[in-house]
Amino acid sequence: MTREITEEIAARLWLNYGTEYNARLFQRIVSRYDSLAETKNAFENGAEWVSALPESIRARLREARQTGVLERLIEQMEKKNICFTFPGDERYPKLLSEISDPPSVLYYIGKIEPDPELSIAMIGSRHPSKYGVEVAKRFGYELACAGALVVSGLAEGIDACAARGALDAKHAICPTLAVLGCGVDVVYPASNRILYEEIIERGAVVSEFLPGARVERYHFPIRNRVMSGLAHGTLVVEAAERSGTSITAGYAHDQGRDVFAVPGRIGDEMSAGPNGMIARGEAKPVFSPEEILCEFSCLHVPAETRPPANIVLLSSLGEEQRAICRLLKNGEMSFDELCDSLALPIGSMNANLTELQFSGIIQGLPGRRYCIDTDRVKLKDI
Amino acid sequence: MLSRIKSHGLNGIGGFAVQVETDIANGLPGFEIVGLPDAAVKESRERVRAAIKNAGYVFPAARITVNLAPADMRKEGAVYDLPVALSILAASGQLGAHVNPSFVTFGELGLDGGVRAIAGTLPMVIDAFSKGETIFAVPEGNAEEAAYVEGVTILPVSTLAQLCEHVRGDTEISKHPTEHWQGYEQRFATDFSEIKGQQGAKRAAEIAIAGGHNILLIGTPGAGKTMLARAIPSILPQLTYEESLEITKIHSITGATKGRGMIRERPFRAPHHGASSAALVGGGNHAMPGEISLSHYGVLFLDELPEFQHNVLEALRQPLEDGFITVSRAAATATYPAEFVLVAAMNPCPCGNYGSKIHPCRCAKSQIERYRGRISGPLLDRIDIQIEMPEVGFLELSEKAAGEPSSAVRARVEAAREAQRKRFAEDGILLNAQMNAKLIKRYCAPDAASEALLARAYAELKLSARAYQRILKVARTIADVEGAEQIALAHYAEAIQYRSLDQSGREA
Repeated sequence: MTREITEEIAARLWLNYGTEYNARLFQRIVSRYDSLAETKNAFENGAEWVSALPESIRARLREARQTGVLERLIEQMEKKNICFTFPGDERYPKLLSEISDPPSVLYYIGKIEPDPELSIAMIGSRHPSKYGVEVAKRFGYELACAGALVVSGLAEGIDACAARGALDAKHAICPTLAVLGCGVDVVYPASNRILYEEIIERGAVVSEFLPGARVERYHFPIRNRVMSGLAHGTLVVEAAERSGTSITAGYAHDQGRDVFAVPGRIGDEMSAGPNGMIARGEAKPVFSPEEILCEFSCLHVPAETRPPANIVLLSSLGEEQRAICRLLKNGEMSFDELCDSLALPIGSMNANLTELQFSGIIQGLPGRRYCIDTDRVKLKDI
Repeated sequence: MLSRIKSHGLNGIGGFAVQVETDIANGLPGFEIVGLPDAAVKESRERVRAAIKNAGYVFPAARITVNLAPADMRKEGAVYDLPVALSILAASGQLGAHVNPSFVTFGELGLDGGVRAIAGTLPMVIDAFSKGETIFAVPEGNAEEAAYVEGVTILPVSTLAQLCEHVRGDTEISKHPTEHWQGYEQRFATDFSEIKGQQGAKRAAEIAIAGGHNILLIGTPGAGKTMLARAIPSILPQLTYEESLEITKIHSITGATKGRGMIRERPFRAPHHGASSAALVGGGNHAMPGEISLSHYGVLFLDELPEFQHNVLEALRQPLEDGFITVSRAAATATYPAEFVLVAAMNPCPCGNYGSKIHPCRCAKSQIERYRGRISGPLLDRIDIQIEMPEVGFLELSEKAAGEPSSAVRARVEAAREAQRKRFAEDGILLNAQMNAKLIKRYCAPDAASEALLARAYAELKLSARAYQRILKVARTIADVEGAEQIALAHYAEAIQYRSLDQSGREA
């Protein structure tokens, strides 16, 4: 989608190139003048604020003034289908423009819904437990089904699961948005490439970092304020006590947005984050996606529901398999624990587990642990 | 005057007859050894000179030429000291007229005329015996290992003077009594009963040894991978005479059997992960056997498998398939047997805690993939059994009852191996792991219900064709361990559990 580059927009790109992600500096410089074109002229005429800038930024601004630099950037963007928008533009997300330091230019690939009825950012650990994975997928899916926009950060773990869940809502038009900590054309982590492609297909990846910018550690806190800024509410799924998640939740508070948390099992490391937030009153506990929808009184009837779980009657299974299922209903167990509890010969234990796995009733987990595959089946004790 | 003494040389574990000829001629005193000798053989001149003197004989002050025939084979080591000294004494007439001893001899000399044990005695005796020689004068320290060969006469030699007297007919050396092979009660460092918990892994180890399958143990640090691996020799079947002979032959080449006689335990080799590919598969100037040949008929344990250099692991692929290795070097080419059970162990991820409930794993997905990627697919395909070992908490450890003793497990292993021996009587193999595609088809054909289960496994686990065949072989072994004639559905189902790495590749 090519956009006509007016003098004003060219000046904005120039100043954005110089200040990069430093949105507050951008605001400070611009606030002295009526227009960006004027700002650029003032810079060229050597206004007194120029000398107060750090040398590195002055150098970038001078570099961007040379012919060819911005033209090359725009050419690159067109080639990679990268679009951009800025505060005041009709495509700029309305929620984001309300925060105190909105990105001066937001680059994106895909399509942005500037004013979604409901937008929820889902954040959490990169190393979730199976519970966290399930919850993130379920919330992502049901929120997207109800027409909400799911905002995530394309990291491994909760972020990826939330986006995956949202994409599973096949009828949602624009189910998800991913905010990157690098240029929008850089896929990080590389393991999420397929997810990245699918998000572009159905929604958008956005970033305030210049296209081509590499990942840096310090980018993530800066990125996090955009995630919370893009959303009406932020949902914490699983996180350790101190983590990037608490930074994002902090931004959400500062921006006057709601913070929700899904309670976790006490004692688990990944429960400490959300449970702690709930305990301190920093987050509202939620037990189902509907509660979030109710909160914003936009409860749509989901357009589709998950394929109903297969109901498996325990009585339809053999005695040994029934005993295994009964044990696993109370939570995951390792192979050794199963052996100790059931006193079955190891051989038949192995055989039964394989059969249960292939009939879709149980699932193997890393570390030779097993659990009931709750996504696919529901056990009935008749 | 001219003399001839019979000796022997080694090339790999095979050998060749060597004639030590000495000519003593008038002229400037000198001592020359010809016939492609290496540095150690050349140095023997000094040892021989001193040994003859100190044994009470005279080193002739004449022009001495020693030839090691055949002249086109390279001769190595100090094994020719004894025949060279004997040959010089015979040529100079100090042992009486017309000396033509009927024995084959080899041995290293000390300056005092004492005879030292050498490497490679057993393979030389076996090879020379097969070429028609029956009497051997060998260093005393090697006499025991050599005396196990049926039909040979072994004369243990402790000094040069002793052998000279024997040749002259003054004092006969009494022959070493023939050793007879008997089953030896072995003692092991670790018994299966000492391993608490980990019943699944113990069962997998039993199946692996019963069918000769390679096994990979995956588990968090402290799960007991190394302990289990070290206990595996205790469930290996007892060595037979032929196996022991072959093992001793290989170990004899490296000199490990000096003064120890025959090797009676199955080898357990655990090279460090810094090992080079020459150390593992064999190499060096003289194409020496590597760890894989030294673990012939035993266990090769590779701990921390992904830490081994890539090329080292890849070098394992061919011997794993063939059961032998041909080591080619500029100076020599040798073929060594290498039929071993590979027991490998690895952590599930770089930090080791992937899948742990106690210590959460901090590795990124890409790190885990890279870590596991260090073991190539083709190598992994050759490992029939991959088993994850769940972590064991401290409390569980102290509470668990002792398991089955190794002797009980070994009895089942031996029974299963016997069943395999009967089945393959006409196929030229011994173990299920050695079955080729044709034999798998003949002996592992699944019935309709099993076929359906396997088809699902094939699709869901995205198995390679090779991995599919491995499952069939392992199922055959499970049936053998259970004493079943036919492979049942449960056996196939259990075999599928032993493709751990295929399974964990399936997560979201």
